[in-house]
Parts: sequence; C-alpha cells; structure tokens
Amino acid sequence: MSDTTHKGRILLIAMGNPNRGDDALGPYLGMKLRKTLPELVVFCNYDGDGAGLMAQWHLKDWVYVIDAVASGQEHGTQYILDAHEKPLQSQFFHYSSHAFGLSEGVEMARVLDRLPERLVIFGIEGKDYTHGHEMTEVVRLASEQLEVEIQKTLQQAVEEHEQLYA
Amino acid sequence: MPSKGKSRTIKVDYMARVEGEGALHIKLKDLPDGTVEVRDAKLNIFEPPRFFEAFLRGREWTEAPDITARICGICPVAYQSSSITAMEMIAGVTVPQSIRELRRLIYCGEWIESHVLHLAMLHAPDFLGYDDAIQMAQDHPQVVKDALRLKKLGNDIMTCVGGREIHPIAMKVGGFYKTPTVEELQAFLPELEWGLDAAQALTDLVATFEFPDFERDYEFVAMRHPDEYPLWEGRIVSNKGLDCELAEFFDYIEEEHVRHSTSLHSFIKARGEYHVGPMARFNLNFDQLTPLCQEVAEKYGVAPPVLNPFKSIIIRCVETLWAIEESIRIIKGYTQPDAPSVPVAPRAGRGYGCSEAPRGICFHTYAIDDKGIIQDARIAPPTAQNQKSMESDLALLVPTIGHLDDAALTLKCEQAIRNYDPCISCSCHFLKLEIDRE
Repeated sequence: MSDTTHKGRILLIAMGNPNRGDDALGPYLGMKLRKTLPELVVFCNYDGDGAGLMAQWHLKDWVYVIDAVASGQEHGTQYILDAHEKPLQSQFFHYSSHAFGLSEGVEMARVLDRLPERLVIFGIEGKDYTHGHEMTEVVRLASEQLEVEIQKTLQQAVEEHEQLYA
Repeated sequence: MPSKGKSRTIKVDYMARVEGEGALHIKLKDLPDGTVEVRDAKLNIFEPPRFFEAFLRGREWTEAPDITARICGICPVAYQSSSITAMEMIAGVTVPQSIRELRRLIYCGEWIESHVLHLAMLHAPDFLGYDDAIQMAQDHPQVVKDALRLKKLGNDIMTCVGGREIHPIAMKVGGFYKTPTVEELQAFLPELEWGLDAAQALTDLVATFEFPDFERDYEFVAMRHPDEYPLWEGRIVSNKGLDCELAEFFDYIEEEHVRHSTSLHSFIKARGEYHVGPMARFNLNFDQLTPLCQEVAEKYGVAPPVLNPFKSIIIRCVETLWAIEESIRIIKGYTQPDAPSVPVAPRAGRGYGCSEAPRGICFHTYAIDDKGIIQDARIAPPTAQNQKSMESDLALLVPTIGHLDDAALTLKCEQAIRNYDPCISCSCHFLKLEIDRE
C-alpha cells in the first residue's frame, strides 16, 4: 500500500498466540494496555505471518510491537529493540507459529525500504511455548515491568507526536 | 565430496520455510562404485498431536467450522468449507447460488495468499540460490514487492468476505453471518486486474528456473467437478482409476499410525501412496482451467501429465492466476443475497465434506445426533496424505544427487519437501532433516 498519509499514526501491535504458553505475551499485554492507551495510539492484535506485517503500517507511522522472544537467554529477560539501530536476528522470534515470522517480516521491510519511521519491539525471553499451556510465572512477572516501560514509551511518543504535528 | 564406501549422517534439526514442526531422517550408504544407496527415508513429524477430532465430539454441529478453522492459520477456509459442506449434507441443505459464489470467492482469496506466500517467499529462494526471501529481495525487490501485494490482495478478499484474514468468522453452516455489498466487492476489481498481469509475470519468472531432472509415476488424487476447476464439489478421482463419492473415501483410503510421526499416514488400500495438491488438481482438471491459464501453462511446456514435483511452483502460479480470474468472474456477477444464510436444522446422520486446500484435498466426516451434537469426527488433512509420497520422493531423489556434499544434499532434500508446501501443523493432528550415511 502506498503511503498517502501526511501524518503518521502511533501503532501498538501485539503479536503471538494466546494458546501457546509464553507466546501469549503479546496478546496478554495488549489486552491489559489497551484499556488505558492514550487516544492517539491505535492498537491491533496481529496473528498473521510476518510477510503481511509491513502491510499493517505506513512509512510515517511510529510502530511499537510486543512479542515473545526465544533467543536462548535467561527466561524473563526483557528486550527493547530499535529496528532502526540494528537488524533483528533471524530466529529471535522463533516461536511465531508461522514460517515467516516477525524477524523476517521486519528485515524484509528493511530491504524493501518499507520500515516505518519508528519501529521498536518489546519482548521477553519465554520459557515454555507448548500448545495449550498457560504463560509461565517468570514471564508473567517480567511482563509487569515491561508493561510500565511500554506505557512510558507510548506516553513519550504521544507527547513528541503532538509537538511535531501541532 | 563424500567418501566412497562410507556412511553418512546429515542432520537438519529444524527445517526452515515449512509450516509446522518436524524432521527428516535419511540413512544412506556411499557405494564403492560412486553411487548412493538410500537405506531409509522418514519424515518425522513431531508437532504435538492436537486432538481436534476428540474435542469436536460432544460439541454442537454448528461449532465445527469455527473449531476446525483453528487447525490452520494458512488455510482455515479449507477446513471451514469441508466441515460446513459435511454438515449441510447431513441437514439436507443446498445454499443459493449467490452464497455458493461467495464461498468460492473467499476460497480464491485463500489460494492467492497461500500460494503466493509459498511460491515467492518460501520456495523461489531455493531455485534462485538464496538462503531466504530477504536475501532474494535484495536482488529482486520488485518481484518480492509484487508478491507481497498479491498476497495482500488474497488476504483482503478473505477479510472482506470472511470478517478477518486469519480464521475467518463470517462462514457458517447454511451460508454466512453477514455478506458483503456489491460495492465492497467491486472495489477489488482494479487490484484484481493488476493481479492478472502480476501473476503472469510471476509465472514468467518461475518458468525460467532450473528444475532437477526428476519425475515419478505418481497416483494423483484430487476432486473433479464436471464443469469447474474443483474447490469443494464433485467426486474424488485419480489418474489410476480411483473415482468415488465422498462417502466412499475411507472405503478406498486407509490411515495408519507410524512410529516416527504424530500424523497418520494415508494410502490407497489397493495400491499404496498417493499425491494430493496443485499437481494433482492440475493434471486431473487441466481441461477445467480457463483458456488464459491453459495458454500460460502451455507456453512453458507445462501440460498434463506433469510428473516433476519441482515444477509444482509453476502450477501454483497458474492456479494463482486462475483464482484471480475466478474472483473477477464472481465479483462481476455478484448480487448480494437477500439473506446471508438459509435456515438449517440438525437431524441424526453422517455427512462428508472434502475441499481443495491450497496443498491438497482436506477430507472431513462427521456423525451428529438428532439434537446436533457431534458424535464422531474424522479429518484427513492434505499434508498427512502426502507424507508417504514425500518420503518416497526423497528415497528416489537422493541416489541421483548422492555425489553432492552434505550441505548441498540437505538443501536439495529440503527443496524437495517444500515442493509439497507442507503444512505440518495441520497434519498433526516443522522440519528437522537428518541424513545418516552408513
């Protein structure tokens, strides 16, 4: 889709499968955050494949994504990754149930010059990605701090956005 | 180079660019004369069994479409179509033509998004020598941009007709919960017209790929409709004499459990393994394709019988073109139904549904009681039906490429599996490759 918007949006995208253990992080935090989101923030759950991810945003958007991480680090480790600073590692978001996941979607967008103006990914290293399992306690506890970080980031983004487009 | 007289083990723990979780184990011996003997080829599917059939029992008959749609995020419409038509068979309901056409349209959307994702993002990099589509996009950005746009077109059609692109929510037994307006559908026509050219350009590209010299005498199994390229109506036929009603499916087809897979293996009782999917549909229904699709296929010498599974990528392009043409036809003739669905009432009985998922026939049968409670459910997903054929392809392919080093051999084997666009999540009811040279 061509970018026809003069003014970009602030977009919060929650990715993941609510029924696959810690992969539920995105939908879980999304559900909590959306109740108190600033009016300017557009929220969406996205459970499609990474190939369709770039269709969710326009080039001028500021995009914030929440997804579980499976990088082999300590369970509960918090990540805040700026896609404009460095490429996402392939397999970092290994537990997307689709063959073309978040990392691939973001890196494809980079190659095709389709990265949005801002793209930040919030994640937590998961422990268990078994179908039908609940989110683990270690991830649930870590999510409380990440939730606060996301709220702060979004609030700051809203203020910057309002100043920029005032 | 492999050493003569040695055994080799090549292992790929998680095969990329397939949907689901599984592994491949190939045991082979390099013989003194330089040839290779395959001792064993197994597709180990370890995606956990999901017990859909078990938890359908005791549920309302009208819940089957929404529950079975959850089997797959890539081809939910196939599961919904098969379950809906099975239930409508039990209820003795025939839906009006306008609803039937809408069902065909959403199915076309699914074929477009699924085929384009697989052929352009997952399979084409194999042929062009790239590790993945991201690398491919650096050299072929327009190809990837067009493919993504085509895929989005398919997804958008699904969203418009089905309420959302993944696990659509508008389809039901008896029709739809809500139908789109004429204006909503006509808005797709300019993009579909663009898609006609884009799909042909994609065919022009993939037809230039170098295809391994590999053919097999498959038994192809697909649906066959007297007047149309098949989606969910008609008989189940093969090129070796199978020709049955849906109700007779398990008279001819048997499923068996094998130790190395959480998916049941299917075979034709009289003859053994068979092949479902685009090649089967194309070979058995070429005459039902549109003149344009036939012309595009024949331009590249692709006409039945196509026996080289690597050429399935060309057929996926042709089927994408077909789905675009069919979508245009449907939309141009569409009038919004007076009611989105027809009334349905349960009655005790058994019904059968079979539809052509992008990767092959997806067979369902259900028994319900007079209150509409599901008593029995049985589902044969396409990838489960193709497992034996995939294993045999590898057993026959590897001796022809045994001279390759382990890395190149592994890549070629992965490519051979991707010929089937396997959806392993569906079949369990991802892929680890292990080549063991004795």
